[in-house]
Amino acid sequence: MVKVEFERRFLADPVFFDTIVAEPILGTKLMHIKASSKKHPKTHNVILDVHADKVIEKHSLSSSKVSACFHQESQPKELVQENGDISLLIRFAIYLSSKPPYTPVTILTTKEREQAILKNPHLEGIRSSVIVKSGTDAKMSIGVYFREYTHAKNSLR
Amino acid sequence: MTIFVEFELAEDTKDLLVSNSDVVCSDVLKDELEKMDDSQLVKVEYTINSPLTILSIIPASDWNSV
Repeated sequence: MVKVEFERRFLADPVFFDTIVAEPILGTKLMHIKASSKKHPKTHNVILDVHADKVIEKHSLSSSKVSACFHQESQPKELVQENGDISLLIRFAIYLSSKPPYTPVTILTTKEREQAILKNPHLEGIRSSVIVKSGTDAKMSIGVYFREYTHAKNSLR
Repeated sequence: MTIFVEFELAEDTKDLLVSNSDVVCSDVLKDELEKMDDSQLVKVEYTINSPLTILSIIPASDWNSV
């Protein structure tokens, strides 16, 4: 079994696809992470479906290209009233981290958006259940999990 | 007919076929799947009919090719 217990889930800010489209190897790594997660099989990496629609339109991608690396999830009914784009992202991350097995969440975004996310009042008081990564830090986080996957795969041989 | 696509490890598709005997999958596809390494990432097209049917199983290791 090539299953890995990753420490954190990934939640995509739609702008993070700017990074993935520029460096498709990140998409490949995310595909393997998503498929090999022990705690969240096939749903480890998540994107809200309303955000996936934006990505598909902006980058002219197929829906399956998005869902290859991020599971598309519907907006929970508790959050349908949330109109703010960044607030929705953060509150959805909090929602994900509050569901069993209570895996903390890393929001993947771009350098340009990171500060706006960090300044959002919904992140006040949150220290570890939701964190934000962008640029090199985001790529490193993906790289670390991909190495965990390849290590697990190679140890079976 | 609604088709949905899942990206999963070949071992997960093999498990599904072992654990759910209702799933329809051609012998050709079953043979191809059996030859695959468990860690192979595959793109699987399913139809949610009665019964659930697997239409295709394609190796998908590279984001550029999906």
